[in-house]
Amino acid sequence: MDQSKIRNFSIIAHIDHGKSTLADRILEMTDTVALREMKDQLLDTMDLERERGITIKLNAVTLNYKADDGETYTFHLIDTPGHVDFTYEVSRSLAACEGAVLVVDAAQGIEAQTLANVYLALDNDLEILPVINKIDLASADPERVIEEIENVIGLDAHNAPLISAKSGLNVHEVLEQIVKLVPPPKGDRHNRLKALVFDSAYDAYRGVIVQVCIKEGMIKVGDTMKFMATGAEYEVLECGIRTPKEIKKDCLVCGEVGWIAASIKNIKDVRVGDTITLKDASAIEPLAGYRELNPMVYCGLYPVESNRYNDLRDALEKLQLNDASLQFEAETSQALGFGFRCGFLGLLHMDVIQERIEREFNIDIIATAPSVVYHVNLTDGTQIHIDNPSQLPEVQRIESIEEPFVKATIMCPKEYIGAVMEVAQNKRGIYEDMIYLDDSRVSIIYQLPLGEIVYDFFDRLKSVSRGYASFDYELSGYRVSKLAKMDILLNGEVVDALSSIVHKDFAYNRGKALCEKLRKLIPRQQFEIPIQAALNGKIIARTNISALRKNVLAKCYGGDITRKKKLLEKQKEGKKRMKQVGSVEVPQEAFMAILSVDDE
Amino acid sequence: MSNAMYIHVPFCDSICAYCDFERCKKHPLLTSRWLDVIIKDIQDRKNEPIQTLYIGGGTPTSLSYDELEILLSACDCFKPVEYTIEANIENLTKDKIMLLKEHGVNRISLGVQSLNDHLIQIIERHHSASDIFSKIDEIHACGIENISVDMIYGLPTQSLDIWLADLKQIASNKKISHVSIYSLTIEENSAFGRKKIEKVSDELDEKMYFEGIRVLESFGFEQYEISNFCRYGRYSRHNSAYWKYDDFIGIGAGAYGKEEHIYYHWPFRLNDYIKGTLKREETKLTKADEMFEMIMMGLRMKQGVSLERFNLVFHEDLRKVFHEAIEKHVRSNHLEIMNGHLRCTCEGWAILNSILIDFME
Repeated sequence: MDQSKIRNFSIIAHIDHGKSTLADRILEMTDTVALREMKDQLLDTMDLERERGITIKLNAVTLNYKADDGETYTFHLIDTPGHVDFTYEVSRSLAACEGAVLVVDAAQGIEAQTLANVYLALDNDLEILPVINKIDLASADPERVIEEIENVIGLDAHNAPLISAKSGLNVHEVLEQIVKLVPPPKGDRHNRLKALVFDSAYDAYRGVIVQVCIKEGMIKVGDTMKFMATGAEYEVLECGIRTPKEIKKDCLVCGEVGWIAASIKNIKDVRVGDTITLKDASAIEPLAGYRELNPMVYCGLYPVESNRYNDLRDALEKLQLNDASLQFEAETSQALGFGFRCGFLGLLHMDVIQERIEREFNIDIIATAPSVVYHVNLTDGTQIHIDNPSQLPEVQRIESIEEPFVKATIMCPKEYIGAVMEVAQNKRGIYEDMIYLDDSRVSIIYQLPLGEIVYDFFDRLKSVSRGYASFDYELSGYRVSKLAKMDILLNGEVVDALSSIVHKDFAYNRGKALCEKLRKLIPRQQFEIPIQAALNGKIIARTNISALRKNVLAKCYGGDITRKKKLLEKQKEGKKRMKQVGSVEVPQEAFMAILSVDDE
Repeated sequence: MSNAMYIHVPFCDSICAYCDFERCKKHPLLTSRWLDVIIKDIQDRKNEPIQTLYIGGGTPTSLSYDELEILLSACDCFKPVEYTIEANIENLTKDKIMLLKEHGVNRISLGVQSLNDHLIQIIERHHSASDIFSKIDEIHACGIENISVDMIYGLPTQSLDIWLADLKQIASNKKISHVSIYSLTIEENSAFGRKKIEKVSDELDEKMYFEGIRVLESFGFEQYEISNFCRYGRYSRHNSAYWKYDDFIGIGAGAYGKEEHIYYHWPFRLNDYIKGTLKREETKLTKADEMFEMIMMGLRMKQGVSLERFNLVFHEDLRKVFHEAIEKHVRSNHLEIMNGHLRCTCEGWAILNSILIDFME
């Protein structure tokens, strides 16, 4: 294969700006997929991705394109996840490319997430090709968007193709620009092997399938390969490319993007960003940019029915096969019994995992409110890290508590500046900067505690800006804050799964709101239930759920016995989804109640 | 052979705001053809030893005098001990009362629901409090002395005071011997449901129920079932057949019945019914279904479920079959075994659903 005819590129876009649609058009126009085989948005294969319109797992496809110059080029289109939780994965898949197509909606302009990904692409020295999409919309304003791209990113966008990915208009021009402007991969096939791992997937028969981009040298079936970060060694059993159907090849050479199967049983051996080399002819240095991923957000996951504990473990193990960033270990809660403490890259990651457990594995789970990792400085001079509020030592032993802060970039039309700043302020945000992107839009920078972002920050932001604000963040370090543990007592007993770490200045209001919220969520039972919030053991808020004295069908259904029975079955079903905490039956939503207390 | 028969008249002059029953607005062409079919259905069962006959709806008295006469004549083959018809005062004219009396009807169930003008308007009824009491006098004067009244609580804007004042007025009328009180349920398929009307709070609903019981009892009514009260011994024999889990025949589109271990429903499809092509939907009852349902229905009665009868029907000891649930609720003082019956205590009665859930598989 002629390395000068290879083009490796990604598509960067904000959610809904048309990344998947453009990918579909490109696949069509390169005759990669027969039309009748096309499902909408081919690259997004998981149901969840389709439903949410986002890409979580990466995919890479190899396409052949016959350009206007008469030559046939091999394109490797590497898909990237479009969400802030997966920044590192995005940066690694961008590292496999030499170019990125930046899709910007002709009506919406640049969003915070797009900008974050553009910076990642620039960090990786990618050639960026701006493309203005949805040009056929009545509200399209390409001139303004082109100007915005130049002002905000500093890219010349005057040659940007004006396209409609939906209708295919001018998509041809995008393909020609890829040929002309994206450089072919560097590297030399005669050098020692360096292959960048940018994704992996688990196959029940063949073990972990590794997605790689060959940066130097070549790899062939029968070679013994070595993962430089983990040191694991495996014999290559199969390798190949995807079109998107899997096609086996004897070898992968410098510049190619493909997959390797080596009967790898342990996902932990395969880390995104790691470099594969050959055991017998090792590269001296790995590729730059590898980093070990640590979860940012933790929560407890418990089966509603305690006899499904083992099923839940199986589910988590299976999910982990495809997702090395998911961490879990067994934990026990007095309230919820046996379950798992799980670590996630961020909130979306957490949501997706929870949903997949319920949907794909059919296990009803209770998730506790998410927590960040706190650094607790003890009076004896040592520091401990805790990811579960109930692990916090007693007050006397604590010198101070540090919490993670993030630098948050919020972009919105200027009429929402006030509302957005109020939300940030209410979440203990520290104002840093505000930049006018153009006449109508601004970018606001805040330092925010990550622990506050996990509590409905994004939803609040969207609601006060009518969906116009976009948001991105990066970890900026730990700071000491006035934090304390808030416990919730139901019927006089502390429910460990409802404990949270709060800022002392916000504790009173939050405690009151949480008690009130729980009063609404917990159905009345046959006795009165006091609900109390306590800060460092002192009661700061209380309310009562009055006793249920009447629960009976008092309607004249006459001889309609079925209807009576159906109502009872519904009640029984509802009861089954409750968790018995001491003498109180608590519905699942109650454990997540703290997430939305700031609404009221 | 069944001792109880229910005949469903699905027509109404107008539809009440809370109602989602199997009913429709009356149309003369429709009713005459419907009559032809239902009369045949009734005649088909003329040899049944009917003890209680109940004509319900809908509003049976929305039928014209002549239509009603045809229907009642078809039922002359039965000699029930209790013969009930549901009625609305708007269309229960004096000549219709006389007709009912002639054909042996001895119990009238009046859908009153409320005496408050504002609430009557909200539920889209068209009577006044004084109409009701003069109609009751008229019925009584014609010789039908077993008069039952249905009342609804929990209506939007209804206060505890309004509710109790209504009940007092009803209970102090000596000609009324039976009262049913029903908690409003907002049904999706009712005008209330479509308008997204909200019911009163659970706390107020509870108060209305418990205070309502107190008022009725203070006027000499005995609560013999969760929603039903009587005096002078005039409990509803027909409804008691449901609660005792006896078989009952259901006739007409929209009716339910239970015979020989089959529970059935005639779907409410009038066109099919008139053409004679309506098929009943059947549920074959297993022994487990029947054992649970006998308890579900029986615990609604003050007297509870007879251990002897349970044994007679199922050849099993109720106390053994539901050992766990019974023990749990006897311990928490919700259930008791008294005079050969399993029954609810005062506290348990009002939370029967919570108890029954433990009796389900």
